[in-house]
Amino acid sequence: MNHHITLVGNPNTGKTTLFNKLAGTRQKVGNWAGVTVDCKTGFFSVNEQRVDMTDLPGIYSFATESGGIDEAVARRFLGQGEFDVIINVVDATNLKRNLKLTKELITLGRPMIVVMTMTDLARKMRIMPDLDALAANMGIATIDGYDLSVAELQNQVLALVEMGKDNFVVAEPKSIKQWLSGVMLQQARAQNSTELIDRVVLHPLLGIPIFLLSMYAMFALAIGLGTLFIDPIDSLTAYWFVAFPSHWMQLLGVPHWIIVVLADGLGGGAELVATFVPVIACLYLCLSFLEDSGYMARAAFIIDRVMLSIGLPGQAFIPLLLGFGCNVTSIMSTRSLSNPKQRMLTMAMAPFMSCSARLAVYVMFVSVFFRSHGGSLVFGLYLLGIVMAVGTAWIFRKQLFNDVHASSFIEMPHYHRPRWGNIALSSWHKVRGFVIRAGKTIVVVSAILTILNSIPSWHSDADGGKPSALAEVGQVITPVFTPIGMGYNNWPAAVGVFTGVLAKEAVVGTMDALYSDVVGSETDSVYEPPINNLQTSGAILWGNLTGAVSTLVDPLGLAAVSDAQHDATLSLGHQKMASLFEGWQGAFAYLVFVLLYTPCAAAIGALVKEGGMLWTGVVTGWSTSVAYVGAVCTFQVLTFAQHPFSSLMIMGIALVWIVFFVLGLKSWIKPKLGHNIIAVG
Amino acid sequence: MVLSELPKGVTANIHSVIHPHRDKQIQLLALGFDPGESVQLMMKAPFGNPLQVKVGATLIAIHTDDAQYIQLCEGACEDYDE
Repeated sequence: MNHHITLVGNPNTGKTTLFNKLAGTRQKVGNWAGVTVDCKTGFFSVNEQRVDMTDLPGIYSFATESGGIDEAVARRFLGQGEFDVIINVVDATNLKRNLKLTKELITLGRPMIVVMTMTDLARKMRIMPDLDALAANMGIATIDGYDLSVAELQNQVLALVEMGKDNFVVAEPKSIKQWLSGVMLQQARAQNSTELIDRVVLHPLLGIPIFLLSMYAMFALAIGLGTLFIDPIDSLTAYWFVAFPSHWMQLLGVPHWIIVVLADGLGGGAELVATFVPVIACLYLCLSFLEDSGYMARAAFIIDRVMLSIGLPGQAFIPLLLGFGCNVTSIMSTRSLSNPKQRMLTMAMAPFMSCSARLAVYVMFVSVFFRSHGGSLVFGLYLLGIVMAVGTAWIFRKQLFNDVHASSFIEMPHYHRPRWGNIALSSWHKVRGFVIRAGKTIVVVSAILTILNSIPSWHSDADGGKPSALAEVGQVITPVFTPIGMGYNNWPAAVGVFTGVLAKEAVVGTMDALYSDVVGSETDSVYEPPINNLQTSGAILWGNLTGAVSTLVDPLGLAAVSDAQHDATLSLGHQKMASLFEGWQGAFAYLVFVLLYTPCAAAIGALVKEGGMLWTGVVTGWSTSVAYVGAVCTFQVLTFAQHPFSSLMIMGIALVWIVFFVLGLKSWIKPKLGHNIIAVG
Repeated sequence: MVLSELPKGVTANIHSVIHPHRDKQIQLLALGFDPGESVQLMMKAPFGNPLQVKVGATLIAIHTDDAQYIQLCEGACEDYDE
């Protein structure tokens, strides 16, 4: 026989831990219809009886009509009543407050079981309630979710579910005071360890250094450690997804265009997704650790006042910080913001944080154009990104979210020893979610660009044809980039803009190849047998791991900037590049464009997953517009003396577009937001 | 006295919560800011905002702007329990 139970409880009660304990790996995460709130479902089987579970978002109350998106989701689900028994998860260390929700749940008139969590902490703090007395007072079966083994817990839950379904008695409405009479037998400890730790961690003087240190550790681990695995995984997947299948398809006589679509297009897309897995996995491990241990809420507390000055809560700090490593991790981590509007605002800011892939482009330009001022140039670009992000927050709040309040109340959970099994399990499910859900978009975007890049031009070589169809497109749109100082013959830079959407560091490879006239250098690699590839990938991994210390000291990889300044001579390709840009002004304007423009394919995938299609469109359109207008203004201001009149004209037109966009946000986008992203009621 | 004026480490009891923003009023009550409940100011964040307060057994970060709407009893409170 099948049963369906639903887990309901306050946030931070260990509800997800209980869910993981019951379901193990037999769970999947989806979204509630039309909302970016996780809907977790899972099941367990005992004696050929299957119990399906739905995990509701953590809520304090569902009875009131207002409240956030989580309450709305819970209210709708509980109202529809497609479940047999409610499992009310109650935090034993905070009984009185948790029981308020229990009281609300009773009014639904459905069978119910109370499962106590955090009982280990409650015993330590000497506030463990007498469960039998409490169950008798409430008239609801109550069990200890921590003490029982997995099998015992499953058995007990099943037994209680069957009992609840067969002979259900509505619990008597009593006050919480009556429920608690004779339940608390011990005298609570005067001070618990959480308060002692908080005295140090939130100390007026010590708090900030501890915060900075932990943020640095998280960044170095999530970005630095994850990055070490990118190259070996790239080498491995480039072989198995692209080189190996295309080699064999060639031998089997498969037509060329099918090989391009399957191996280069789809295989290349899968390769791109795979390279993000190590960074995303490290990120989720770090975030789960911070969340599970209880420090996350403290970090938000420390930085809250600073973030408030740009109208965001303290929790927005971590996503934005991670943006300097990789915008994808940044967008994925906005989930920790409970308010969906603040989450969307943070997502719109994230692409402006200069990620480490863009650093590769800066380094190339420093070595060609800015040898004497490389350091300050790169610093200036990072700063410009931050300014643009803050400006975006300001404008979007004014135009779209004028009703969003920065301040909210954050419950600070007790410090808890991290439950490693739980951290590993939830990270695994989140990485899987990224691969499946964001991966789709990434594969599509990257396949389109790769295929365009691989198919030959429609002009023949004799007509001055370009190496690929993408290059032709680049040539056609080059005039669009004239106002940012890109000469008519500088089509490789325009092609770089396209391949940069694939991955920002691809700008470097594209320009290198096109300026030095090396055509299709990537696709014509020599086929090697599988064993060689395994050896190569292993060697790269070993090389990266041995260099791990320098990664931890310099997680952004800024050392490359000073290395570039000391390169001996310019290669031929770089000399050509130097001649094609309109001086250093044109090069600088191009860098401004690269810093700000369209998020990369992976970031777009993450945006679609976290914010929905409409929001992805808004963020992509906004960053592209800002990048273009910013680059135009940069170039025109830098060359103002040469042609003041046309500069004024061009800048005027560019700024009109931005004003148009900003006004459009309010009149077009704002009315649509409610239906597209935020579910009501 | 209101909660934002409570000195650090001192425990008081809540007299009433009257927040002008309806959503926040509901949230505060759901979080356990009930009349009669004990409340203690534990820590202040850098620059004096937000505050970490302990309401019953719950630790909560709350901004001074919101804390000013939580009235505390002067001296002893009457028994507020339901």
